[in-house]
Amino acid sequence: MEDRAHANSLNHEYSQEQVASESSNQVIKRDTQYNSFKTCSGKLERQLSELIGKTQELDLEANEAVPDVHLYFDALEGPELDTLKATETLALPEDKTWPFLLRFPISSFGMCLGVSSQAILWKALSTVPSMKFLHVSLKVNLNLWFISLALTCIISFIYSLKIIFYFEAVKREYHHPIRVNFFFAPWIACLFLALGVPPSVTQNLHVSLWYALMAPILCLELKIYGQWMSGGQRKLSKVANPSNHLSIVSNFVGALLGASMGLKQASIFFFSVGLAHYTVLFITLYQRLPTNQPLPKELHPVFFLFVAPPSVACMAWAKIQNHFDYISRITYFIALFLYASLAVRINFFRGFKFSLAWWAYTFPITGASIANIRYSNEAENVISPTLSVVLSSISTFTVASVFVSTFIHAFVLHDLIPNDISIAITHKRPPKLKKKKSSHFKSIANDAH
Amino acid sequence: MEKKEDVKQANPEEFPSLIKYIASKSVKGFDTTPNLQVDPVFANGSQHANTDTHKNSVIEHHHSHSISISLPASPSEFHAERAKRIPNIDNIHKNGASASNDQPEDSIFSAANSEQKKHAKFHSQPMSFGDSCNNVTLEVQSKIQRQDSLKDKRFDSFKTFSGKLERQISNLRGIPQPPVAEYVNASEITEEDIIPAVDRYFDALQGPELDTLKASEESVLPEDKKWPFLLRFPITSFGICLGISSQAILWKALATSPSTSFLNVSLNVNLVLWSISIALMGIVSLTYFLKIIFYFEAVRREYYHPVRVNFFFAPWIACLFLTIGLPPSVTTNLHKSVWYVLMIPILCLELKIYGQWMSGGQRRLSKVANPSNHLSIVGNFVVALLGASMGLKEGPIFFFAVGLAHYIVLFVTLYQRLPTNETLPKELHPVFFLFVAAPSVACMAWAKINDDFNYGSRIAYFIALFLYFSLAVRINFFRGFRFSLAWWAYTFPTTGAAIATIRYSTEVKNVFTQTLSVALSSISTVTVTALLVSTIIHALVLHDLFPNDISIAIAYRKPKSSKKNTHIKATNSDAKDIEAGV
Repeated sequence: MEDRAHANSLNHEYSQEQVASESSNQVIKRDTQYNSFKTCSGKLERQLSELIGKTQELDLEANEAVPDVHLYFDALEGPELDTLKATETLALPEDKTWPFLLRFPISSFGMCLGVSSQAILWKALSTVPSMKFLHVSLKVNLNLWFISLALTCIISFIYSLKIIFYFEAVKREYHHPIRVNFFFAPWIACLFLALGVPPSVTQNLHVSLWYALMAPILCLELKIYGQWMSGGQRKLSKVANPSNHLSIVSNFVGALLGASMGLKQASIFFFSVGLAHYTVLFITLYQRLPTNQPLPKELHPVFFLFVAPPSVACMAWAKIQNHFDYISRITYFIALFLYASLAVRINFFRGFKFSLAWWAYTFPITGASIANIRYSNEAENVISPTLSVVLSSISTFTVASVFVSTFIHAFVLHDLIPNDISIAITHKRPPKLKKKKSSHFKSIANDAH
Repeated sequence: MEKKEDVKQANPEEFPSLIKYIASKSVKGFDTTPNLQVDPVFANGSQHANTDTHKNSVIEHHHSHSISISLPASPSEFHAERAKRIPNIDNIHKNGASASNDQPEDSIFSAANSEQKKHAKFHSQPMSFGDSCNNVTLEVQSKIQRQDSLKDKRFDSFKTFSGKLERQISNLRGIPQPPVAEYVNASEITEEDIIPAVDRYFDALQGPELDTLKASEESVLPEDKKWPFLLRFPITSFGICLGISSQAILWKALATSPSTSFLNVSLNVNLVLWSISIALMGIVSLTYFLKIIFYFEAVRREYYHPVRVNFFFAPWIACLFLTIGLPPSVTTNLHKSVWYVLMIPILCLELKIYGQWMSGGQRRLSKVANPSNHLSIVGNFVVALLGASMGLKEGPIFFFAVGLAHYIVLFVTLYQRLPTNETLPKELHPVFFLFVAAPSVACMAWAKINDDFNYGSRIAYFIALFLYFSLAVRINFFRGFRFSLAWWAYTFPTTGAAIATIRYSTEVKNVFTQTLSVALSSISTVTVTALLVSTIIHALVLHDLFPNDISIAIAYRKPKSSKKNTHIKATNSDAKDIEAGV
């Protein structure tokens, strides 16, 4: 747009007045540019103007429908499907900073995950008998817990504002094949908060809290796992990505919290659902099917999510059984191996652009160290407490460094929350009938590939 | 090419291949053609089914102008085309030569071609010199009349002995056979000796159960007639036995389980249902047994069908269900030999099918995976359940372990929906309810083996429950499917889930579990009743309970140059499916 204005000013055929009038037109228009993503305003205005009898020249139909899933695959690239391909165009202006709410992604809840899991870690460090030699005060837990509670409240508040004012954008995030997994994050963060609640605040949480948190998770699961099974465009062989682990891990976290609250049957229910789908996802991700478009070609921090389900599952099963039996140990060692397998490749985890979603990838590390602390409580030897200390410091260090980068990006570089390209892709086809056909062809072509 | 299209337009269905070789002159009597390759008259006469390109060109260059007609490769084709043929003779007469050039596109060509490979003999009737097409028409008509009297023989290729026997007898006598009988034989050789390769099933059929013929394909049996009853009787009929006998088990559980004792269900319901199901089992088994005797070829084709083969587990599973649901008033102790008798065929089938998955070839799992494979898995768990309730220990654990290993493989594969899975329905279909069967039976089997509903059983039970919910919330998508007998097989998982819930509610007895078991039981009973009603309607009102079983009648060889074609067709049908889904 600047270029255009520049060209205009250079052009001698245009008088200064014309330029001025044009740019003022654009200013007026600019305010309405985001209308198509707003909840009511656009529609309301249109209806009003239709009532008045004015003709509408807004580009509304371009954004009316949520794009099909293959459009996301076609238009975006990168391990998190968050970069626009060079050939594609956006529905929103690329060169401007969008309104803050429109840029605020669901992956911000990753921060809550990271900090609240730290609270659990420090609670475990101070209460588990095998870690007594460290003399960690419970106050660390208390502070971290309050920070994470505040963070969750703030982020939830902002995101609910986004739901209210830019529902279309939320809908597009929900239809994004990778972002949808982050819709589990708020609920998991709440479960973490409930797990890490400091003993000084309360000892007993009411059971209804668990039901309130698990109901949305169950609904999301019915939706997402059903999409995997019943096919269509979102079949697992197409959308599998390590971030799917977020949808799995919520089962185990739910089972862990339920079991520690004394709910047996419901915990086993979620544990078994998680187990069944974890098996499916684990095998699918390991296979790296050629049809899996969103699977990162190289290693990426998102791979640390591999560690999350087994480490949480081990604790959940130990809580259900009331003792750290062989099954817990098997899952624990699986987690440990996956952790080690990623840790030795640490050199490959370089040169990625920082994003808020990284926060979500710190909690598996924390989860592994908590599982390690539980294990060291059972296995009487020297190695396991040492390992716990090492893993805990790694996790704390990781969270601290991610925190520092977040801080730098927020206040120094001012690019913590960039334009959220993923929600602004267009369906570039004017008439509606044509779109249907061409999308068919595309999907066939995709199938053939 | 244009001319050929003309022909095709005039006659959208295929011509019998040999008709296309009519030229304007005929050659005198070459009724006996001992060797196709040598006989010069034959080569000249453009007569036999060999459509080698250079032979065609020979025909073209010499312009031998012979009018000769021979019968089509198989009698059924003849009948299918009969109505259309006569009016088109003129057309053929004009376009014959050029049409024969493009022959390789036609499926009949390949049929004829392979017949030639088998050295089948073709005997044709010569025409007199200088005939016009009027004569041709007459000749054809007279042949049709002859053919009509032999209508019954069309199904001979699927019969067990009849065709062969006749041929052998006549060979013994040394009598030159009447031409028509020989055609029956010719088609028989080709169809009996070669079972269609598994690729052919994928190419020629479509639909979630691979039971609909693609538009481009043709059936070897007449499509427009009703086939003999036995030929139409599919193995999926055993699904009815599965549905009813699992109901018998459900009502037994309702009557005997302490958690549902508040319902005061009488054991008589179980007795009645059990008697019905055993009668049904007897009838279905007898009918299918007759099919095995009289139409062994058809049974073999069902066995090679990649989806149907799973239903070969159904009879044995139904027998196991009957034993499990045995009313206490009939007998309480069954001899253990029953278990061994029922387990052996299941084990053999499994060795065959799981072996095919593993060892690859055409039937590897990434290709044939379909929810109906669950029938082959659930057999293991049912066997384990029955064995454990008879007091055996090691045998049931063996079957449980085998079932578990292959269940994991199948479950993951089905969930992945690999793009290579040609048999997987694009959209939801009742067959998906089979997902619920394996874990719900596994949960009961593990509980019986352990004598305790422990965590393992609970995990299996909850997996079944979640899958059930996951399908139940999508109930809107289960609409608009054509009813088929196979649906019966999809009711037993819902019944199985209900039984497992009753079993669970005896362990965890509270209002929620009891309500759940009553709800699931009523859902399953309502489903079975609804299915019963629609079966009766289809049987007695619409008379289409047993439609022609297209899946077994596909031609055994694909059209020669069809590789490209089938690809295009496949994409087309994909597009159709997607469109239907949208």
